[in-house]
Amino acid sequence: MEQPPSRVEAMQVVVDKFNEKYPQYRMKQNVVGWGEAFTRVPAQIEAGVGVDLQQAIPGFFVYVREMGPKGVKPATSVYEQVAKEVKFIDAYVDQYRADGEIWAIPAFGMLELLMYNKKHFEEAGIPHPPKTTEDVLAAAKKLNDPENDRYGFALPASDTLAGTQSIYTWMGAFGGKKIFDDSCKPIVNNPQNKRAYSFLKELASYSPPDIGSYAWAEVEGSLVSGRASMITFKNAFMNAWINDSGLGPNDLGAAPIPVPKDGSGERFSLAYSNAFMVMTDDPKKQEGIAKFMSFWLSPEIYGEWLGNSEPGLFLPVTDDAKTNEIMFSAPVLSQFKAQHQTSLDEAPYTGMYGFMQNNYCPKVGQFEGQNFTAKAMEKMIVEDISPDEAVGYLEELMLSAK
Amino acid sequence: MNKQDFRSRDARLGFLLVLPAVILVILVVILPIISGIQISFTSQRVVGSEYEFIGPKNYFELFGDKQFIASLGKSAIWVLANGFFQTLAALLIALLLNQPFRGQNFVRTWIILPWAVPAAVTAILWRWMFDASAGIVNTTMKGMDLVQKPVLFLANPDIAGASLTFVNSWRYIPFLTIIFLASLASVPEEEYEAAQVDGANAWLQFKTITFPNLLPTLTVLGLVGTLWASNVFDIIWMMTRGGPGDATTTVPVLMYDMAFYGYNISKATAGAIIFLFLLIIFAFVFIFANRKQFVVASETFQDLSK
Repeated sequence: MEQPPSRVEAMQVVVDKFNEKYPQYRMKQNVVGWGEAFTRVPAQIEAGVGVDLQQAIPGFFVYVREMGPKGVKPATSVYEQVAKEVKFIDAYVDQYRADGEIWAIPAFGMLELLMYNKKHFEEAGIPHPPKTTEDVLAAAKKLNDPENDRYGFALPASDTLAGTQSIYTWMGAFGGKKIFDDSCKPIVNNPQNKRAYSFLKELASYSPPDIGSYAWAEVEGSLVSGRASMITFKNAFMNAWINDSGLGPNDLGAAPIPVPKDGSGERFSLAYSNAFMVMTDDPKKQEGIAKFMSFWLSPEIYGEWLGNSEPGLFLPVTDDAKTNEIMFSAPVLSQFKAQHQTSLDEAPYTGMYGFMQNNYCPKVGQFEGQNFTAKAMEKMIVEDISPDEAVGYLEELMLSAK
Repeated sequence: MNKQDFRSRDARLGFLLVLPAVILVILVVILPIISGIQISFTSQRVVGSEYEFIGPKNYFELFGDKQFIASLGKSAIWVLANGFFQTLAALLIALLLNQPFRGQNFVRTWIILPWAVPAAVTAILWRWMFDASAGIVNTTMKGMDLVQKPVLFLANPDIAGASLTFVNSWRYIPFLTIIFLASLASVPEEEYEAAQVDGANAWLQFKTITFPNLLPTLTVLGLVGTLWASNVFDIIWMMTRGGPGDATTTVPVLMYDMAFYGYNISKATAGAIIFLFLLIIFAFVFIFANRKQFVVASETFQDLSK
């Protein structure tokens, strides 16, 4: 399981309860940060000391699958056992379908929204959140006040995963979510993405000047501090908003990602399906894993975990959990019901680069790992190249991946 | 007991005492290098994945890879900038701290603090201090009317390398200062007294007494410092990840990115092997060119150990 202490603590509660209820199994949590997962986990597998159930995101699954049969095992049978008790949301399962198998059991989702400061909108006389990309630019322009260190938007134009996720979300909104054709050839150099990058370049001009070094913390910080009025982000900073913004929960706006006015794009957001990969062949252990996942996804346990581990960021991957009362009544989340509901409503309109074709192209690992979309964005801003050139560079990067 | 027996027993004891260190070096340095060379001739993508032997293809590709060649240049600039800045600053600080003043012992002890701060903490600390909006550096400069707009320390490709050099130097200067202070302590006081009798001013004393006495230390630090600076990865990765663009992509950063995010561990290993051999060649040339200073330094260390 990943590293932040609050997440480890919340997962430990689940593990302890499971161990207590099912003494015939023994679950132990091993913590690894995403920063070191790519180096540590394959080494552990190679050394024969890997875990039986490994948290994954799609890019990491691709990485571990490179190890062949000694790495990740097909999880279809475990998934089917768990699916007898809960109804998974397809968008989250699809990210782990490949070669006729399901390779991980979805555990929680995350998706991008347009997060904005309602107070800034009111002060600027903007009556409603942007619905179209044209609205976004108009609002950003109106809200932009660099003389007073206030900016309309904070777009991460850096070689980071924050950049990758934000940029790809907009590519999707412009209709460019498909990045490979059926033969895994990159197809990003298209009019949709040229329009998306053109939009992003203009948006960057209404962003703080140091967006070239922005990662998640800086993007979030810029909205919470009031320096920026809009960001594309996960609904992930409720605690920070309450503690540091000086504003109330109702002043935080959350809206679906706007689309182009002419209807050429589509309602879309990047969504991460965080899942658990089965790393063991042992039928007994697989049985235990199925029991654990069913236990975790049961309404009481899952609701409490979703509500408290990382309020708002972690979204349910099952249909029935979308209305989970325990989740909605958690101390922090209960103050941000409307924003959280927006996240839940967007779940069906989501996707993940390269994982929407019931299969994936191996190059998607490098696409994510080396932040190709963000690199192209960074180059466009730092070297002031045109959107067309940036998209050409993006395709060039994808073609160079092996 | 005859002299011959004593010598051979002494030699045996010496050999036994050194043996654990030799075994350790073989296990954690030599074997991984051999394994790395082996991997560099394969097509392996990820640790533990299947691969084929492809000969020197990775090496040929790297020699034609503009990004790799550029990273070698950036590594060279990084090493020179760090070496120059750190040595100069540490030397000046050491000379200042070598003068008697109130609280001298306190300062000489606690100056080491930045070196003791973990790299991750250093990176986060300076990332926030360099922040354009809330960072203390920009806030202070704006408050003092030194700048009108915030300086983009990490987001501007023209100054990101200099910013990283500053942070890395901030970390290493205290350590170098301590080394220089130790070296200054070994300069015989009588030499200064004689120079003062002869009427030599401070600059002449530095030029004819201090500097020649520091030269062996400077030479050793020139070698060790180059090797250390060449391998710095943590600060760069955590602060800029090689960016903006490729502005701070040194060889270690590029190799890490290529190995673990570019799914090409064999090519990255080939790059690391090339870099290793370049450093070995540098070390041999440097030691050969400065062999006299290394002999003096070695004698000084032997004297100190008696």
